[in-house]
Amino acid sequence: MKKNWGIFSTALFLLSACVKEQASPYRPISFEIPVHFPHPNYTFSNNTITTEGFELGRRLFYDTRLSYDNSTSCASCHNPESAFSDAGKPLSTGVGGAFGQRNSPSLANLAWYPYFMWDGGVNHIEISSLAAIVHPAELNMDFAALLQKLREIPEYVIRFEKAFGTPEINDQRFFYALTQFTGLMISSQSKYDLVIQGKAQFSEQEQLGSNLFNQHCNSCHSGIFQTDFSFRNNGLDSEFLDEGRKHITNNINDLGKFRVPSLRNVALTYPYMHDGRFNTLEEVLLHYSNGIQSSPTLDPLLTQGISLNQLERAALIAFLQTLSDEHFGKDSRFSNPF
Amino acid sequence: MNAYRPLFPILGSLILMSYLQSCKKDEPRDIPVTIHNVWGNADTPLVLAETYVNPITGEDAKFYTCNYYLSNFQLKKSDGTYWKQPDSYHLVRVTDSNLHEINLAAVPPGEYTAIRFLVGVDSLKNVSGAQTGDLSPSNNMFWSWSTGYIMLKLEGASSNAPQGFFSFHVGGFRDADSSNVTQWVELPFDSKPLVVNRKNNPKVALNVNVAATFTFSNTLEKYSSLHASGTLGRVMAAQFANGISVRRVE
Repeated sequence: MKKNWGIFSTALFLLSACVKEQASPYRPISFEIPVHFPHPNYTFSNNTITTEGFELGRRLFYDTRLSYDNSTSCASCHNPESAFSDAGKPLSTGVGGAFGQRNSPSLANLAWYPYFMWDGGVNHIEISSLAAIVHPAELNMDFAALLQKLREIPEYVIRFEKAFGTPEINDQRFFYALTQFTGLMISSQSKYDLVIQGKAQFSEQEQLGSNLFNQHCNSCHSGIFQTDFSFRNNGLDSEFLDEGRKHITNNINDLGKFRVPSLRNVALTYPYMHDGRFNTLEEVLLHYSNGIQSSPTLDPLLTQGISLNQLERAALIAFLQTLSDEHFGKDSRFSNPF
Repeated sequence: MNAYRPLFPILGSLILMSYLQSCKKDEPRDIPVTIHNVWGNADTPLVLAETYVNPITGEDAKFYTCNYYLSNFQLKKSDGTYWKQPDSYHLVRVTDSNLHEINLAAVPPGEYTAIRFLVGVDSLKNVSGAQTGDLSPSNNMFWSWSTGYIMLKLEGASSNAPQGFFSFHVGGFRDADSSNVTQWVELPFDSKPLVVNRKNNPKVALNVNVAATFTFSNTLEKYSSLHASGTLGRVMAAQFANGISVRRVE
């Protein structure tokens, strides 16, 4: 009998170990700052994260009813499979197939961002979704009309009550919930992250790429997010259809400048540049090698271009691929709830 | 219990005395500030969908939208310090009525010699994320593409405008890039101070003369549209603020 119990409990132990291994690792709904990350810009100090608030934000993110014709959601252009970007599409595609003016960026580590959008026009994570919601070529939704639409969906009335204590649906609650979701989208488990924490090693080629990156790229693509969050003209054009940062500042010295993007998950978030003109990382590197266009606002660091031979380009791309975080898009907390 | 009985009358009179004391003391009062939206100096009420002629330029204008923010209301005490209304953000919308009431709640008793406020929304609230109430983006007084509140929104029709209509969204809050359109306005109570005590029903009325926004140098023929910060916005904001005056103090 005793022996049987022993076998039984061993089997039970094995079984439970098995089950444990199969289930995706449970990660709590809370804002956890990766140990190798700096202090974030946004800390949820006035927007307390709750499971209900996060789940509400998750639904809003994936709900096509946020658009004028119920066709498009945030996830339409910020797809988890491509690190919440719009892989393959040069420009964002909104209601009725309308094209936006710029490439949809990856959404990751937003709580560390000092501003949002290619031109830095939006200054706070909580309202970063508003421009896309109201833009005629994106979700094309009058914001007051959207709140009214949500008030007429009983499920949302219940979810807002669970998240915020009363069933009222207002601007602030909408943005707080969505921010609880998007602000928790942290990408910190790439090979690069493991290497800088001493938990993995670059291959020889990746190491060469890393050295080249530090030599040629990281005066702009600096720090843990590979961006100094500055606005620069990287020599794409000599005349500007899109005036970039100048649109926000009215300053002629900002003409043709766009934000230096974070390169996290860069291999997953093609095409590249504010207008998605380059399909591959190779094309991007060729641009820096011999495609730089001169103009008065061209970044001084790029006047000579960045000369790279084929071997060096391949090594740089191998390094850039270590920035891909495979866990990020597969994290079940961020998946489509519908 | 019985041992304390002799104390009851003393306690009772103490309570009565403190009650009487509180009656004598002046309590803070709510002060209504009535905004009279007017056209020109002749006190013509400004409402939507009526045609007005600008007394300075002679141009006509019919408004479909006339909204603006007033914030950070303060009252100046006789000692030169200010009472400040907490969380003071007010969206004024002209409708088929030209009147809008702002309540200054719990103003302490005393004598006040001026009213002070910011035309527009201060920079802090422009960089503090999602707001609600009068500051809700759904009020359509907010730029989503270049974060910030629209201080003044004037939309309507005019036979003088080249395309027959005008649309001004005046906004911007940064000093760093000279986009700040917000204007502090301090208006003294010249005729008599505002006295807040338990005897009177103090109130203030302000005139907002929207015609002041349009002058000879800034005609609808020359400018009929603005949807970004910049020089024209700063000029219009300054002129709009100049059009605000004290109508009455009681």
